[in-house]
Amino acid sequence: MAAATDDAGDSNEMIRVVSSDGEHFEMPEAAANLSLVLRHMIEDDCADAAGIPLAVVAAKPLAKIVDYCTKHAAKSSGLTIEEAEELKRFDAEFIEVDTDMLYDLLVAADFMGVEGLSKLAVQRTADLIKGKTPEQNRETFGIVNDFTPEEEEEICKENEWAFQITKPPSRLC
Amino acid sequence: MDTPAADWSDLPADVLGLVLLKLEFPDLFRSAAVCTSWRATARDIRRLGLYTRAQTPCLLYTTAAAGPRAAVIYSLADKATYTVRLPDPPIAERYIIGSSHGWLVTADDRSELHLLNPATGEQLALPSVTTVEHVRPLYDGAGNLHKYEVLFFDGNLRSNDEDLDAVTHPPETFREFFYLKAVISGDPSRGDYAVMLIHHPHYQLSFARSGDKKWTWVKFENNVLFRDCIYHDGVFYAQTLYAAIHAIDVSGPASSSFTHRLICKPCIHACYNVYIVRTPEGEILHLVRLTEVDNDREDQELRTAYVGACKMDLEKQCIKEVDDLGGNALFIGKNYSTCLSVKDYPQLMPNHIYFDDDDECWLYRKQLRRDVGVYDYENNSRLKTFVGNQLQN
Repeated sequence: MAAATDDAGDSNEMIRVVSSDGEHFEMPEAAANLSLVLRHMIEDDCADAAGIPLAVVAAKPLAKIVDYCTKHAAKSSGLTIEEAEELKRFDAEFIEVDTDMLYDLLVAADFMGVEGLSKLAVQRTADLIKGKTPEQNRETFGIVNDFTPEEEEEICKENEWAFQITKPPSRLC
Repeated sequence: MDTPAADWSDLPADVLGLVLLKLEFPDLFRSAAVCTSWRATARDIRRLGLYTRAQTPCLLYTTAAAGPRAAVIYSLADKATYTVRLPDPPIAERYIIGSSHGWLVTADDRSELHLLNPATGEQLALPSVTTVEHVRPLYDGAGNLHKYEVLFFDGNLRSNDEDLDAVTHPPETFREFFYLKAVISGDPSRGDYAVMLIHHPHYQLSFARSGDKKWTWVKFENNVLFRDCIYHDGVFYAQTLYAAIHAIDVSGPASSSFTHRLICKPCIHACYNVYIVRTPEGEILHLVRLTEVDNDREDQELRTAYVGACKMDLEKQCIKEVDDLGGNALFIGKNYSTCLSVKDYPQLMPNHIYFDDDDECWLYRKQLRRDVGVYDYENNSRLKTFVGNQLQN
């Protein structure tokens, strides 16, 4: 569970959230404001001691999201170059997760409207897809090939060239 | 508590869409072959016109091994080559006179022009070359197209002069002589577009908008020699070999109407290989390429020896050499002259100029090794050439 930090913006108010599986978390209001959904709830006075219920976000991804928001809210404006670099490193390490967690973060960040995290997870997923054949992507993401033989044939005809990835022998510029 | 493993084929379409929009086109096409739901999303984002990702430039060429109907695409993004079969006429028998926004402008063996998208195989015919103001078809006794005649008039020389010079060329070689470069205003698969043609005699301009039946000559009061052209925000910016820039607006209500104004006066001595690019920061750069002939080799190949870059100051009407390219990567040649930020295209090298050859005297001597490579602007040196001598086009 993410600990509250003192340097999280002007507001000292802590916001409580509850995961779909009933775990409670809290974070500074400035951190919660990074989520569009939470910000609207706070503005509408829906944030009370019982916590805001997030019906589709389980505890595991929610803990990560609270971490992310707390870190980013603490370093939101007027960053020095070093701080910006540090935040970049935090992001890079933060998103080094397995595909199950990545999936949960993608969906939860989108649902909660955490723009920075959504972008981070989207880019990470795109990076995992890049340069792979359809079969390699199925392996990476644990996807079952559900095409009918007719569809397979159609796909092959359409963009067969894209499946033949040839890496030139010498390193080109 | 343990949650069941994520089902990536079940990822909500809007979220998957965000991911797929980040991919270059070969990856997007491959993603469409993973499973039915990914396929549906990949098709939707293309069908709905959402897939507007600017692509990292590719080098396109033909080889004897791939055959006349296929092109090889070398992707700078994934450093891989793909062999793409393309619709007729055979790509190796066409001349490529331009590329913009992922589309090629090609001239076939009758010197007629097509727009061709090598990634999707889409093809559009442009108005016939015989509709260009300066061109006349000549027929033989049996009524077959025999030659094209080009009349040498421009803003100075009247088209009705009795002693006007003219040359004739057979349809298949006419294209070598006539076309210099073609530039498209935008992606033709996304709606209206215009094509600006730089052509002989005297490096003049003609344009055609989507749906036009003929080319419209951009007539000037005097003789203006154009070498390059870009398009921005509704206007073509055409550059002369004296580095003057003319803004040409072809978006008027009538298809053959246009307006033009001089936005930068001539400011250099004539230089044949000049280019105009717009940087992501909105500045206009003027580039000069100098080539040398490799006399050590029997076949006298042309090689890019130097590329200079100047910033254009439209207020003071002058140009000033720059020390670096602002960390950007530039692309010059037959392609739409482009300047890209390496922040957006991390696979590109900053302050480098990627070039292919466009010298009108050498380009169509197809047996020669092509002048394709990368130039390091900061160190004034040419890096290694891209691919060996199999480039044909």
